[in-house]
Amino acid sequence: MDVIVKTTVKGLFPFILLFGVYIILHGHLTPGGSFPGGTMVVVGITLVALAFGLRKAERIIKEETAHIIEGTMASFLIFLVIFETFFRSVLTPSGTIFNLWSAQQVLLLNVFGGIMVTMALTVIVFLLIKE
Amino acid sequence: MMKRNIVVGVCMVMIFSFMLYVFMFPGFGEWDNKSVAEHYIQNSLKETNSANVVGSIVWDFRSFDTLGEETVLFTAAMGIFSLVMFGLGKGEGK
Repeated sequence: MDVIVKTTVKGLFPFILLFGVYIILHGHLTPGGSFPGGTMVVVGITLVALAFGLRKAERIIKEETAHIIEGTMASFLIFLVIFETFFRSVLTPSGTIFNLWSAQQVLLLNVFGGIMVTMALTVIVFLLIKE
Repeated sequence: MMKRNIVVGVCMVMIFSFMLYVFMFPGFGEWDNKSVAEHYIQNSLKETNSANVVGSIVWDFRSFDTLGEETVLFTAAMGIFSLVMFGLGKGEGK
């Protein structure tokens, strides 16, 4: 890619990552959540892969690592959802409303789901670029 | 053959018992007090302490539904992995 694209991606990449993580972390307060936030993080990684090549993008996260983290997060999600369904009465949410630390089960599931969406889409993008 | 007959019989019984659930539905146009949307709107702040009603419905009241969505994504990633890595797509088309 030429200089303009490289410079733009170099400047925009941290802000795209920051905005995606913000959307994931504030999923229980503002519109958004794990799916849009994870997709935004993957858009940043895809921009790096398109502008600088796959070698530079794999320095952020490798495809094999993404596989392992994705499977781990999927098992965590299954465990958490089943736990949350059967132990509704035990989990009394604490904290004041509109604070970041308010709805614990929604926050935890958003974070785990966001990491899983990010890793799954990263695997898809890397594999399709490699092909 | 015997095993197959047993499997088919068990499947038929399960399908029939699931179909019986249809008779427990309220009749056409009689949904007055049986809607669950009112309960979600009234109690989402009290039960989940989350300011985002959509988020509380997606991740708390109907979390099994969302787990299915994540499964779809996981299956898509695994499908592309198997296509690219094991050469399942390199058939007659290429």
